[in-house]
Amino acid sequence: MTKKKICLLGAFAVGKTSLVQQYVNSIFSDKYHTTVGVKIEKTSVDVDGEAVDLIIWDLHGEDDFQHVRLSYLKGSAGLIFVADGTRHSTLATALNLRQIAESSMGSLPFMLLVNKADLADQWEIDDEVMEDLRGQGISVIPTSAKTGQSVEWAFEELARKMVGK
Amino acid sequence: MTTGYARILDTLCRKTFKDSAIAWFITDLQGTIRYWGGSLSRLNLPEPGSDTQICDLLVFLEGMIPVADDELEFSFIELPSGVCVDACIYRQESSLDIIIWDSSRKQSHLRPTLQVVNEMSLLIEKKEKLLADLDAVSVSDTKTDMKNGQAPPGFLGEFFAALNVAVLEMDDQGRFFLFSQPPPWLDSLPQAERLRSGSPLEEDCFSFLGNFIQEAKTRWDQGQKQTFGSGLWIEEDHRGEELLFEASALAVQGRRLLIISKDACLPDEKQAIIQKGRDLALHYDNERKSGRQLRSLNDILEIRVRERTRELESVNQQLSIELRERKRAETERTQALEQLRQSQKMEAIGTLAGGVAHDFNNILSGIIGYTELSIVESGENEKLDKILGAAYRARNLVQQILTFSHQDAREREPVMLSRVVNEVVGLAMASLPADVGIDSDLNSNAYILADSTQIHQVVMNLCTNAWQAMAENGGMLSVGLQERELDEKRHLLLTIKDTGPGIPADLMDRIFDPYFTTKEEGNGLGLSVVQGIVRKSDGYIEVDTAQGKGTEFRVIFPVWDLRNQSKL
Repeated sequence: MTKKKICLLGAFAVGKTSLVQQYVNSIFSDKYHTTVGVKIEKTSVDVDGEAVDLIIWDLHGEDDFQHVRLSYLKGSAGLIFVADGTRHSTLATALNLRQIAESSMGSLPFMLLVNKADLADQWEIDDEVMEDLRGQGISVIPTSAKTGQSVEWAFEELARKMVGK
Repeated sequence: MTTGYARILDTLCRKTFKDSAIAWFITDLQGTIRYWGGSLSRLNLPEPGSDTQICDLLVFLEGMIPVADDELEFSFIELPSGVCVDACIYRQESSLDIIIWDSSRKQSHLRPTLQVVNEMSLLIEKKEKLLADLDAVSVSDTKTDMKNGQAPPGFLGEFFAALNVAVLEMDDQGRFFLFSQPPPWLDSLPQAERLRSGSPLEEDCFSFLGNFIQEAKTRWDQGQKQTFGSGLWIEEDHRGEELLFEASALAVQGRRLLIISKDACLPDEKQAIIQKGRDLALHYDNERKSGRQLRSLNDILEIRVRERTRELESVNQQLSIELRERKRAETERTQALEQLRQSQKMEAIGTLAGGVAHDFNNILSGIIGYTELSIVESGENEKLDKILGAAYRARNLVQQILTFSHQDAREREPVMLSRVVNEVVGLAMASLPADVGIDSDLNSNAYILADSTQIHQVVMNLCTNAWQAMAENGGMLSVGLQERELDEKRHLLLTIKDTGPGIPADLMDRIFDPYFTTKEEGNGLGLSVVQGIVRKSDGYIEVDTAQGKGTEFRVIFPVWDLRNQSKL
């Protein structure tokens, strides 16, 4: 069976763990629970008839105290960068992490998830910014770990990119 | 070596880390587990089978095998089994060494403080956003006499009062005035009285904000509207109480505002910050310790390997020495056997020659006796004279053979060696060719215990050989005699040196062999007789030769003390 490693990166409290839990276990909690280190999840996905094992690395959030260790990205087949739609600064963090990852790992399939779509009225990242990013060839997907909006699709889309379909 | 390595790891896990949830694996470079040990069950891991891949067991290694670098470290990896581990991977030449241990306790200790800090950071972000939003609020109706410290009316005044902050505005000359109603804690700030009275303060009035205000001015001049913070600082007020401050700078409708808040955090939040700092310090300290522990483990293994290597090298060296010793002993044995064989041969030759010479001597005695009688009876007879001459030469030869074979029993007596040497030198001077000079340097009149006739023969033979070596091209015969102290005993050193062509190196081993000669008319007994006499006289003989430069014979005899005469 094909096995692929995915890393989730982003600022703290953008909902990385919630996205993984929604995708792997279909659960969501409003309570913020900070991740220390790395949480590994394993799940299988069917990509156009091909079973792919996804090893999902939910990395701790990037902040002044905890920086993402590049060694954790080794062996990744794909990356998911997560921003919080209600906090503009988290988009800058995500894009910065993408740059760092690319310089270290080279060009890997990746997605940019702008999370908390359920709080659309509080968003600071407008459609224009996202369109601009899409214009740069970045797959930008608004998601909601709370409602599950586009979560499964985003992971499967990345899996498809990773197996080259 | 890997088996031994595995055994050491296993022993260390059982004995050193017996109470820890630690496990180790040695895999090939493709990740197939070859050896493993430690507390798998405590880490909630199943036991691997004979061909289990490490990635099946430690799922986080997926995509990393084969490991490209020498070493990888991971902290706080929460496995699907729910256990949180730290891990180290070392790449060896043909294996991967993986050690994992439980870090759940460390993680649970760190998590609450990180949680508080992150939650606080979110709150601070929200507050800053609120302040930035103020830019959208019209403050045109707040144009009262701010410089007299009057609170701005309306929303802004209420807002700043609610935030419990001191708001200062910088004018065009870079001076600060109180913008809002002073907060109750204003007296904690330096020069609070001036602020209250509405007097301006210079921009350097807050020494702790020096760099921050410069940065703020730059941003204001560039028209930047975003709020930025100074970070927290602790200041002592006039009562010595430590206070926590934070400053923010922002531009609102062209006004350049400095907002100072006191105790930006609630006491428990402040405690959380301190706690967080300490926990982080502990965390990094623990990480360092873990790293050190693993490095120490690795060092122990390396030391063991080095020790074992040294032992093997030492054994190898010992074996080499033994082999060399055996080879040398073998060579010595072969040489000893050769010497014995040579000695036995010489003994046999000597015995044979002695026997023949003895019988021949008897025959010669008859020939000489009857020839002499015939000459007496018949008078002068040339033919008889020649027979007699030949018989005499034959007797001399027989005498030499008997000397060589030690069968001419002679008695030793004290002999003044210098006297014998002088006699020989005198004889030699008379018979030497004109182009051969002689130099005699005799410096001792000590005695040796020997047969004087034989010693005479020794000196004569050596001198004869010397001048014969120089017969073609001439040269100098040097004869020397001096005393030497050897083994704390007096000895006489007799040297006879020529300046002839020297002895070829390939002949050196044979010059003392009987019947070996390079001369057309030689009998090959000269040097062997010399050696025999010298040995019988408790002496020994050495020779040095150099091609084209000459040869030196050194004969050493022990000095005979005449006071020992009675012992003879």
